[in-house]
Amino acid sequence: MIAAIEIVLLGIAVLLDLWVGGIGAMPMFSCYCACHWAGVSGPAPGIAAAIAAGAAIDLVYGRITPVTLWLLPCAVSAALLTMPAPPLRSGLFRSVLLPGAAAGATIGIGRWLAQICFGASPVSMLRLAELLIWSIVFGAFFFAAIVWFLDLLFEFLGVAGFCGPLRSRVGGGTPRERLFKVRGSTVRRSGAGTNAGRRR
Amino acid sequence: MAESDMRWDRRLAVILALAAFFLLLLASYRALRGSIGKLVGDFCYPYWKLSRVTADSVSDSSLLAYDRAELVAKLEQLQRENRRLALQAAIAAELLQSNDELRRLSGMSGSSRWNFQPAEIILRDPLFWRESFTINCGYESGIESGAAVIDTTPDCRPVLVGVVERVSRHTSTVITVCHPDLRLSCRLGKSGAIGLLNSGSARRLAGGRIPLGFLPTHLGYQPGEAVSTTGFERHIPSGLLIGELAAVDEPDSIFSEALSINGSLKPAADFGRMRFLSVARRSAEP
Repeated sequence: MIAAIEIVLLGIAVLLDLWVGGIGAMPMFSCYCACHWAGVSGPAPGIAAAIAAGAAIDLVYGRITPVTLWLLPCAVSAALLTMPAPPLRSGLFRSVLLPGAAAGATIGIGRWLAQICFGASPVSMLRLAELLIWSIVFGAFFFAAIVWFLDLLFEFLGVAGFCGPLRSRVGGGTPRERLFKVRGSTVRRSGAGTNAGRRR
Repeated sequence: MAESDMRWDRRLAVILALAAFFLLLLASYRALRGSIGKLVGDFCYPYWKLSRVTADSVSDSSLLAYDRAELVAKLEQLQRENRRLALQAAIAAELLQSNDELRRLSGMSGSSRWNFQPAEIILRDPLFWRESFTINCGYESGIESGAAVIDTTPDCRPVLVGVVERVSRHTSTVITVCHPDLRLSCRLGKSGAIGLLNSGSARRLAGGRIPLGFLPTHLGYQPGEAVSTTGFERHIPSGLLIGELAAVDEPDSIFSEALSINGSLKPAADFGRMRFLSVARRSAEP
């Protein structure tokens, strides 16, 4: 069920990326979908999805040197490195905004590097700063939007979403309550599922 | 302990499988690029077209924002422009006819004739915005690989934008004059020198300029000289403006024995704003 939803969403995201690319923007919706998949089902399907989406985008644009083929897996890996494990996901900043921003920063830097290495015109440091700020802000907020939307959908379907198992007692409340209402909480790994693990 | 080992083995297998998948895609990318690009270009053609239709309908709806007087003024302006262009076309047809007559009388072979296929950009790569794009006509419209893609300047002068690289049934991929892989011969207006576009020592130049190489050392060059196509390439008409000469290296006349020097040109095409283009097709020899 999760894989089917994520594949459909990834396909739509790739098409949207190509469509929005026509006006000169490179939002990389597909990267954040792959990040969400990695957060829900683990790193392997997320990174595989990122590789597939990256290859598809490169092939459609007919790029001589693939760029998104390596950029998307790198961005998903960056998001995974900053993302806590599912039962410990509490607090909007730590669990959602930070991984989204990390993926966005990777995309910004990767895009700048690709333009330097393979582009016809040199790119300035000012352009890097502009790309980086835009990518980080967009990544953080778009990833939060995707998490919010898909977790609502998954809750409706009765499937465990990004914020962990539906009936998890870690930190108290439902996963969405923990994520969006409790800010800055810390959860002890050893106490997961017990009273000791509740928010201090 | 055994369970922990198994978990690590599984993780290692997943990592190795992902790495193999990645390397396989990377290795086969060049081979896949041509065939999948064509396939996707044709398969997704209605989707790319849809995006253009949507943009057009939004643009058309914006006309409703004008009042009647403004619309009438715009219409009159367009009618005036149409009359001017019709007169220009009539004069050009007369000149063409007299040229053919002179050629016939002097026993020269007939000049090359070109047809122009209108095209619209339907897909652009945001990463390499100035270097390549996809247009909405393919071999079904008679487009061939290597055909010249032309835009016009605000004063209606034809400008070479790029060359068709790959053709599928409904779409074609174009590489522009800014693409480092596009090598073209070009002629400088005043000096008459022939150079080669995108060649020379520098691969990338600041300010969107294009490298120009193999310019003869013994000729004098002036910045601002018009650079146009030579007609040496089969699918590119001669005399199409490419840009203007921006700079030329100063040859060291005492110590250098080089036969050619390098320079750079500023492209005439406005890559940021172009949308409707024409593709040159060589018609049968008369």
